[in-house]
Amino acid sequence: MNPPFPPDWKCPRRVGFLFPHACLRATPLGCPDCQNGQIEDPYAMRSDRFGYSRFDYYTDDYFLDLGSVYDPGVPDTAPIDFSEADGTDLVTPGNEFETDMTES
Amino acid sequence: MAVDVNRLHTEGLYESRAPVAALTADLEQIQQLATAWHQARRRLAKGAALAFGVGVICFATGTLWFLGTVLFGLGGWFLYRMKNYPKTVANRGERCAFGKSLAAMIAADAAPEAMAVFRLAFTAQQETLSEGPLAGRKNGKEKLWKESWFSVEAGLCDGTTFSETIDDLFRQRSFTNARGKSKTKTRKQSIIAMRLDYPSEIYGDLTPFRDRMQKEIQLPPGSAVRALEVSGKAVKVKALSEPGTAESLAQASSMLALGVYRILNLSRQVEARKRAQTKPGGPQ
Repeated sequence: MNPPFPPDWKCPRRVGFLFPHACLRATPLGCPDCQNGQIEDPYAMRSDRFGYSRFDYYTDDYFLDLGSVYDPGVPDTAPIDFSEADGTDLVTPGNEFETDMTES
Repeated sequence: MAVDVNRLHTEGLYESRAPVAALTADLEQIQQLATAWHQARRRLAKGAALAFGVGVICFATGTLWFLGTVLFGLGGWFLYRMKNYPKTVANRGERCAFGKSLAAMIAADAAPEAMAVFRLAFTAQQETLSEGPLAGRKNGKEKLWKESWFSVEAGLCDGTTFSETIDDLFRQRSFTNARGKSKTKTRKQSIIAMRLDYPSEIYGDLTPFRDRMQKEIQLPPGSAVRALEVSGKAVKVKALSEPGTAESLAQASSMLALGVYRILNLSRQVEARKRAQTKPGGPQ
Protein backbone atom coordinates (compact mmCIF):
# COMPACT_ATOMS: atom_id res chain seq x y z
CA MET A 1 0.00 0.00 0.00
CA ASN A 2 1.30 3.44 -0.94
CA PRO A 3 0.87 6.68 0.99
CA PRO A 4 -1.29 8.50 1.89
CA PHE A 5 -2.64 5.90 4.31
CA PRO A 6 -6.20 5.92 5.63
CA PRO A 7 -6.49 7.30 9.17
CA ASP A 8 -7.30 3.90 10.67
CA TRP A 9 -4.56 2.04 8.77
CA LYS A 10 -2.40 -0.29 10.86
CA CYS A 11 0.72 -1.92 9.51
CA PRO A 12 0.01 -5.64 9.03
CA ARG A 13 3.66 -6.72 8.86
CA ARG A 14 5.21 -9.17 11.32
CA VAL A 15 7.81 -7.62 13.61
CA GLY A 16 9.63 -8.73 16.75
CA PHE A 17 12.92 -10.20 17.90
CA LEU A 18 11.90 -13.21 20.00
CA PHE A 19 8.45 -13.89 18.57
CA PRO A 20 6.33 -12.50 15.77
CA HIS A 21 3.65 -9.95 16.47
CA ALA A 22 1.76 -7.36 14.49
CA CYS A 23 3.54 -4.07 13.86
CA LEU A 24 0.39 -1.91 14.13
CA ARG A 25 2.25 1.32 13.31
CA ALA A 26 0.10 3.92 11.60
CA THR A 27 2.66 4.47 8.86
CA PRO A 28 5.75 2.68 7.54
CA LEU A 29 7.49 6.02 7.06
CA GLY A 30 10.51 6.14 9.31
CA CYS A 31 9.87 2.60 10.55
CA PRO A 32 13.15 0.97 11.66
CA ASP A 33 11.70 -2.53 11.14
CA CYS A 34 10.44 -2.41 7.56
CA GLN A 35 12.67 0.53 6.57
CA ASN A 36 9.97 2.68 5.02
CA GLY A 37 8.02 -0.31 3.78
CA GLN A 38 10.88 -1.88 1.86
CA ILE A 39 10.95 -5.15 3.86
CA GLU A 40 7.85 -7.29 3.53
CA ASP A 41 8.49 -9.54 6.55
CA PRO A 42 10.75 -7.74 9.04
CA TYR A 43 10.46 -10.55 11.61
CA ALA A 44 11.83 -13.23 9.30
CA MET A 45 14.42 -10.95 7.71
CA ARG A 46 16.19 -9.87 10.91
CA SER A 47 19.90 -10.52 10.73
CA ASP A 48 20.82 -9.78 14.35
CA ARG A 49 19.96 -13.16 15.86
CA PHE A 50 23.57 -14.36 16.07
CA GLY A 51 23.73 -18.13 15.41
CA TYR A 52 20.00 -18.46 14.76
CA SER A 53 20.10 -17.74 11.05
CA ARG A 54 16.72 -19.29 10.19
CA PHE A 55 14.90 -18.52 13.38
CA ASP A 56 11.43 -18.85 11.88
CA TYR A 57 12.00 -22.14 10.09
CA TYR A 58 11.55 -25.64 11.52
CA THR A 59 12.51 -28.81 9.76
CA ASP A 60 10.15 -31.78 9.88
CA ASP A 61 12.10 -33.48 12.66
CA TYR A 62 10.99 -30.76 15.07
CA PHE A 63 7.43 -31.85 14.48
CA LEU A 64 8.29 -35.55 14.51
CA ASP A 65 9.52 -35.04 18.06
CA LEU A 66 5.98 -34.17 18.99
CA GLY A 67 4.75 -37.66 18.21
CA SER A 68 1.24 -37.80 16.78
CA VAL A 69 0.37 -34.27 17.88
CA TYR A 70 1.20 -32.46 14.67
CA ASP A 71 2.70 -33.01 11.25
CA PRO A 72 2.75 -30.04 8.90
CA GLY A 73 3.20 -32.04 5.72
CA VAL A 74 0.31 -34.50 5.79
CA PRO A 75 -3.42 -34.27 6.47
CA ASP A 76 -4.24 -34.08 10.15
CA THR A 77 -5.80 -37.52 10.27
CA ALA A 78 -2.65 -39.30 9.03
CA PRO A 79 -0.61 -41.11 11.69
CA ILE A 80 2.85 -39.68 12.27
CA ASP A 81 4.56 -43.09 12.55
CA PHE A 82 5.26 -45.10 9.42
CA SER A 83 3.42 -48.40 9.23
CA GLU A 84 4.29 -51.55 7.31
CA ALA A 85 1.86 -50.47 4.60
CA ASP A 86 3.66 -47.16 4.22
CA GLY A 87 6.91 -49.07 3.71
CA THR A 88 5.36 -51.05 0.87
CA ASP A 89 4.17 -47.84 -0.76
CA LEU A 90 7.69 -46.43 -0.73
CA VAL A 91 9.04 -49.23 -2.96
CA THR A 92 8.91 -48.17 -6.59
CA PRO A 93 8.51 -51.14 -8.96
CA GLY A 94 11.37 -51.42 -11.45
CA ASN A 95 13.85 -49.49 -9.35
CA GLU A 96 16.66 -51.96 -8.82
CA PHE A 97 19.27 -49.58 -7.51
CA GLU A 98 19.57 -51.35 -4.19
CA THR A 99 19.90 -54.82 -5.66
CA ASP A 100 21.99 -54.03 -8.74
CA MET A 101 25.59 -54.95 -7.81
CA THR A 102 27.19 -54.22 -11.17
CA GLU A 103 28.02 -50.64 -10.17
CA SER A 104 30.38 -49.90 -7.29
CA MET B 1 12.17 9.39 33.68
CA ALA B 2 15.09 11.40 35.01
CA VAL B 3 18.09 9.53 36.36
CA ASP B 4 18.71 9.98 40.08
CA VAL B 5 22.29 11.21 39.69
CA ASN B 6 22.68 11.74 43.43
CA ARG B 7 21.90 8.09 44.14
CA LEU B 8 24.15 6.99 41.30
CA HIS B 9 26.91 9.09 42.84
CA THR B 10 26.51 7.95 46.44
CA GLU B 11 25.30 4.35 46.07
CA GLY B 12 26.45 3.53 42.53
CA LEU B 13 22.95 2.26 41.78
CA TYR B 14 20.28 2.89 39.15
CA GLU B 15 16.81 1.53 39.79
CA SER B 16 13.69 2.28 37.84
CA ARG B 17 10.14 1.21 37.22
CA ALA B 18 9.39 2.82 33.90
CA PRO B 19 8.11 2.10 30.41
CA VAL B 20 10.56 0.04 28.39
CA ALA B 21 10.96 2.87 25.89
CA ALA B 22 12.24 5.21 28.61
CA LEU B 23 14.93 2.78 29.78
CA THR B 24 17.20 3.26 26.80
CA ALA B 25 17.22 7.05 27.26
CA ASP B 26 18.10 6.68 30.95
CA LEU B 27 20.90 4.23 30.23
CA GLU B 28 22.26 6.47 27.49
CA GLN B 29 22.39 9.32 30.00
CA ILE B 30 24.17 7.16 32.58
CA GLN B 31 26.68 5.95 30.02
CA GLN B 32 27.49 9.53 29.01
CA LEU B 33 27.86 10.41 32.68
CA ALA B 34 30.15 7.43 33.28
CA THR B 35 32.32 8.42 30.30
CA ALA B 36 32.54 12.04 31.52
CA TRP B 37 33.47 10.88 35.04
CA HIS B 38 36.07 8.50 33.65
CA GLN B 39 37.68 11.30 31.64
CA ALA B 40 37.60 13.67 34.62
CA ARG B 41 39.30 11.07 36.82
CA ARG B 42 42.00 10.53 34.20
CA ARG B 43 42.67 14.28 33.88
CA LEU B 44 42.94 14.64 37.67
CA ALA B 45 45.20 11.58 37.98
CA LYS B 46 47.51 12.98 35.29
CA GLY B 47 47.52 16.37 37.03
CA ALA B 48 48.36 14.75 40.37
CA ALA B 49 51.19 12.68 38.84
CA LEU B 50 52.65 15.78 37.19
CA ALA B 51 52.40 17.85 40.37
CA PHE B 52 54.04 15.13 42.48
CA GLY B 53 56.77 14.58 39.87
CA VAL B 54 57.70 18.25 39.54
CA GLY B 55 57.39 18.58 43.34
CA VAL B 56 60.00 15.85 43.84
CA ILE B 57 62.37 17.64 41.41
CA CYS B 58 61.83 20.89 43.32
CA PHE B 59 62.73 19.18 46.59
CA ALA B 60 65.78 17.63 44.94
CA THR B 61 67.15 21.05 43.94
CA GLY B 62 67.14 22.08 47.61
CA THR B 63 66.38 25.71 46.90
CA LEU B 64 62.84 25.32 45.50
CA TRP B 65 61.47 23.38 48.48
CA PHE B 66 58.65 25.91 48.98
CA LEU B 67 57.41 25.36 45.40
CA GLY B 68 57.72 21.59 45.97
CA THR B 69 55.46 21.86 49.02
CA VAL B 70 52.89 23.80 47.00
CA LEU B 71 52.99 21.20 44.20
CA PHE B 72 52.56 18.34 46.66
CA GLY B 73 49.56 20.15 48.11
CA LEU B 74 48.17 20.63 44.61
CA GLY B 75 48.70 16.93 43.81
CA GLY B 76 46.87 15.97 47.01
CA TRP B 77 44.01 18.28 46.09
CA PHE B 78 43.75 16.64 42.65
CA LEU B 79 43.54 13.21 44.28
CA TYR B 80 40.91 14.47 46.70
CA ARG B 81 38.88 15.90 43.78
CA MET B 82 38.85 12.45 42.15
CA LYS B 83 36.46 11.32 44.91
CA ASN B 84 33.77 13.48 43.26
CA TYR B 85 33.72 11.04 40.36
CA PRO B 86 33.00 7.55 41.75
CA LYS B 87 35.48 5.02 40.43
CA THR B 88 32.98 2.17 40.23
CA VAL B 89 30.62 4.10 37.94
CA ALA B 90 33.43 5.67 35.91
CA ASN B 91 35.16 2.34 35.27
CA ARG B 92 32.07 0.23 34.65
CA GLY B 93 30.43 2.10 31.81
CA GLU B 94 30.26 -1.17 29.90
CA ARG B 95 27.47 -2.29 32.26
CA CYS B 96 25.35 0.48 30.72
CA ALA B 97 26.14 -0.90 27.28
CA PHE B 98 24.95 -4.31 28.46
CA GLY B 99 21.78 -2.81 29.95
CA LYS B 100 21.07 -0.91 26.74
CA SER B 101 21.48 -4.03 24.66
CA LEU B 102 19.07 -5.98 26.85
CA ALA B 103 16.58 -3.10 26.98
CA ALA B 104 16.63 -3.00 23.17
CA MET B 105 15.92 -6.73 23.04
CA ILE B 106 12.93 -6.37 25.39
CA ALA B 107 11.67 -3.24 23.62
CA ALA B 108 11.39 -5.16 20.34
CA ASP B 109 8.75 -7.45 21.86
CA ALA B 110 7.10 -5.32 24.54
CA ALA B 111 4.34 -2.75 24.20
CA PRO B 112 5.87 0.77 24.41
CA GLU B 113 3.83 1.56 27.52
CA ALA B 114 4.68 -1.75 29.24
CA MET B 115 6.45 -1.25 32.55
CA ALA B 116 9.86 -2.73 33.28
CA VAL B 117 11.53 -3.03 36.65
CA PHE B 118 15.23 -2.45 36.12
CA ARG B 119 18.20 -2.50 38.48
CA LEU B 120 21.79 -1.80 37.52
CA ALA B 121 24.38 -1.66 40.30
CA PHE B 122 27.88 -0.33 39.76
CA THR B 123 28.80 -0.89 43.39
CA ALA B 124 27.31 -4.29 44.16
CA GLN B 125 27.17 -5.77 47.65
CA GLN B 126 29.40 -8.79 48.15
CA GLU B 127 27.57 -11.83 49.41
CA THR B 128 29.92 -14.45 50.83
CA LEU B 129 28.96 -17.95 49.76
CA SER B 130 31.69 -19.92 51.50
CA GLU B 131 35.03 -19.39 53.18
CA GLY B 132 37.43 -22.03 54.40
CA PRO B 133 40.83 -23.71 54.14
CA LEU B 134 42.25 -24.74 50.78
CA ALA B 135 43.41 -28.35 50.92
CA GLY B 136 46.91 -29.25 49.74
CA ARG B 137 48.36 -25.74 50.09
CA LYS B 138 50.36 -24.14 52.86
CA ASN B 139 48.29 -21.39 54.52
CA GLY B 140 45.69 -22.13 51.85
CA LYS B 141 42.37 -20.30 52.00
CA GLU B 142 39.48 -20.26 49.60
CA LYS B 143 36.66 -17.77 49.52
CA LEU B 144 33.63 -17.71 47.25
CA TRP B 145 31.37 -14.71 46.94
CA LYS B 146 28.93 -13.21 44.52
CA GLU B 147 27.88 -9.77 43.43
CA SER B 148 24.39 -9.29 42.03
CA TRP B 149 24.60 -6.29 39.75
CA PHE B 150 21.78 -6.60 37.27
CA SER B 151 18.11 -7.52 37.23
CA VAL B 152 15.20 -6.81 34.94
CA GLU B 153 11.57 -7.85 34.83
CA ALA B 154 9.25 -6.89 32.03
CA GLY B 155 5.99 -8.01 30.48
CA LEU B 156 6.18 -8.88 26.80
CA CYS B 157 3.25 -8.38 24.44
CA ASP B 158 2.55 -12.14 24.17
CA GLY B 159 1.71 -12.19 27.88
CA THR B 160 5.06 -13.64 28.96
CA THR B 161 6.87 -12.14 31.92
CA PHE B 162 10.57 -11.99 31.18
CA SER B 163 13.06 -11.68 34.01
CA GLU B 164 16.81 -11.93 34.11
CA THR B 165 19.52 -11.48 36.71
CA ILE B 166 23.29 -11.37 36.39
CA ASP B 167 25.54 -12.32 39.28
CA ASP B 168 29.31 -12.21 39.18
CA LEU B 169 30.70 -15.22 41.00
CA PHE B 170 34.22 -14.86 42.44
CA ARG B 171 36.61 -17.50 43.72
CA GLN B 172 39.67 -16.28 45.54
CA ARG B 173 42.44 -18.68 46.55
CA SER B 174 45.40 -17.55 48.62
CA PHE B 175 48.37 -19.65 49.75
CA THR B 176 52.11 -19.58 50.42
CA ASN B 177 54.19 -21.15 47.68
CA ALA B 178 57.34 -23.29 48.01
CA ARG B 179 59.57 -20.20 47.93
CA GLY B 180 57.64 -18.67 50.83
CA LYS B 181 55.85 -16.05 48.76
CA SER B 182 52.23 -15.29 49.39
CA LYS B 183 50.04 -15.79 46.32
CA THR B 184 46.45 -14.79 45.67
CA LYS B 185 44.47 -15.85 42.63
CA THR B 186 40.98 -14.60 41.83
CA ARG B 187 38.71 -16.09 39.21
CA LYS B 188 35.42 -14.62 38.01
CA GLN B 189 32.44 -16.00 36.14
CA SER B 190 29.08 -14.46 35.38
CA ILE B 191 25.87 -16.35 36.05
CA ILE B 192 22.98 -15.46 33.78
CA ALA B 193 19.66 -16.57 35.26
CA MET B 194 16.64 -16.15 33.03
CA ARG B 195 13.01 -16.92 33.71
CA LEU B 196 10.09 -16.77 31.30
CA ASP B 197 6.61 -17.14 32.76
CA TYR B 198 4.63 -17.96 29.65
CA PRO B 199 0.86 -18.04 29.19
CA SER B 200 -0.06 -21.71 28.81
CA GLU B 201 -3.29 -20.85 26.94
CA ILE B 202 -1.10 -19.60 24.06
CA TYR B 203 1.95 -21.85 24.31
CA GLY B 204 0.48 -24.97 25.88
CA ASP B 205 2.62 -27.07 28.18
CA LEU B 206 6.31 -26.94 27.31
CA THR B 207 7.35 -29.71 29.67
CA PRO B 208 7.73 -32.34 26.88
CA PHE B 209 9.97 -29.94 24.94
CA ARG B 210 12.68 -29.72 27.59
CA ASP B 211 15.26 -31.88 25.81
CA ARG B 212 14.61 -30.21 22.47
CA MET B 213 15.06 -26.81 24.12
CA GLN B 214 18.34 -27.89 25.69
CA LYS B 215 19.60 -28.88 22.23
CA GLU B 216 18.27 -25.71 20.66
CA ILE B 217 20.05 -23.20 22.88
CA GLN B 218 23.24 -21.98 21.24
CA LEU B 219 25.68 -19.85 23.17
CA PRO B 220 28.87 -17.99 22.21
CA PRO B 221 32.27 -19.56 23.05
CA GLY B 222 33.02 -19.26 26.77
CA SER B 223 29.37 -19.64 27.79
CA ALA B 224 27.43 -22.78 28.64
CA VAL B 225 24.00 -23.75 29.91
CA ARG B 226 24.22 -25.10 33.45
CA ALA B 227 20.58 -25.72 34.29
CA LEU B 228 17.27 -25.81 32.49
CA GLU B 229 13.94 -26.28 34.19
CA VAL B 230 10.72 -26.41 32.20
CA SER B 231 7.30 -26.53 33.80
CA GLY B 232 3.77 -26.02 32.56
CA LYS B 233 4.00 -22.32 33.33
CA ALA B 234 7.64 -21.24 33.26
CA VAL B 235 11.03 -21.86 31.73
CA LYS B 236 14.02 -21.24 33.96
CA VAL B 237 17.50 -21.37 32.51
CA LYS B 238 20.89 -20.68 34.00
CA ALA B 239 24.13 -20.18 32.08
CA LEU B 240 27.73 -19.57 33.07
CA SER B 241 29.79 -17.09 31.12
CA GLU B 242 33.54 -16.53 31.26
CA PRO B 243 34.65 -12.94 31.88
CA GLY B 244 34.36 -10.95 28.69
CA THR B 245 33.08 -7.72 27.33
CA ALA B 246 29.60 -6.35 27.92
CA GLU B 247 28.94 -7.18 24.30
CA SER B 248 29.69 -10.88 24.79
CA LEU B 249 27.50 -11.02 27.91
CA ALA B 250 24.67 -9.30 26.03
CA GLN B 251 25.13 -11.76 23.18
CA ALA B 252 24.94 -14.71 25.57
CA SER B 253 21.74 -13.29 27.11
CA SER B 254 20.12 -12.72 23.72
CA MET B 255 21.07 -16.17 22.46
CA LEU B 256 19.70 -17.78 25.61
CA ALA B 257 16.35 -16.01 25.15
CA LEU B 258 16.32 -16.84 21.43
CA GLY B 259 16.93 -20.53 22.13
CA VAL B 260 14.03 -20.68 24.58
CA TYR B 261 11.75 -18.71 22.30
CA ARG B 262 12.50 -20.86 19.30
CA ILE B 263 10.79 -23.71 21.10
CA LEU B 264 8.07 -21.48 22.54
CA ASN B 265 7.24 -20.34 18.99
CA LEU B 266 7.14 -23.95 17.82
CA SER B 267 4.83 -24.87 20.68
CA ARG B 268 2.59 -21.92 19.85
CA GLN B 269 2.21 -23.17 16.27
CA VAL B 270 1.36 -26.63 17.54
CA GLU B 271 -1.17 -25.27 20.04
CA ALA B 272 -2.81 -23.12 17.35
CA ARG B 273 -3.09 -26.17 15.11
CA LYS B 274 -4.56 -28.25 17.93
CA ARG B 275 -7.15 -25.56 18.64
CA ALA B 276 -8.08 -25.46 14.95
CA GLN B 277 -8.49 -29.24 14.95
CA THR B 278 -10.77 -29.27 17.98
CA LYS B 279 -12.94 -26.37 16.79
CA PRO B 280 -16.33 -27.47 15.41
CA GLY B 281 -16.06 -27.37 11.63
CA GLY B 282 -12.24 -27.31 11.80
CA PRO B 283 -10.02 -29.79 9.99
CA GLN B 284 -10.87 -33.38 10.84
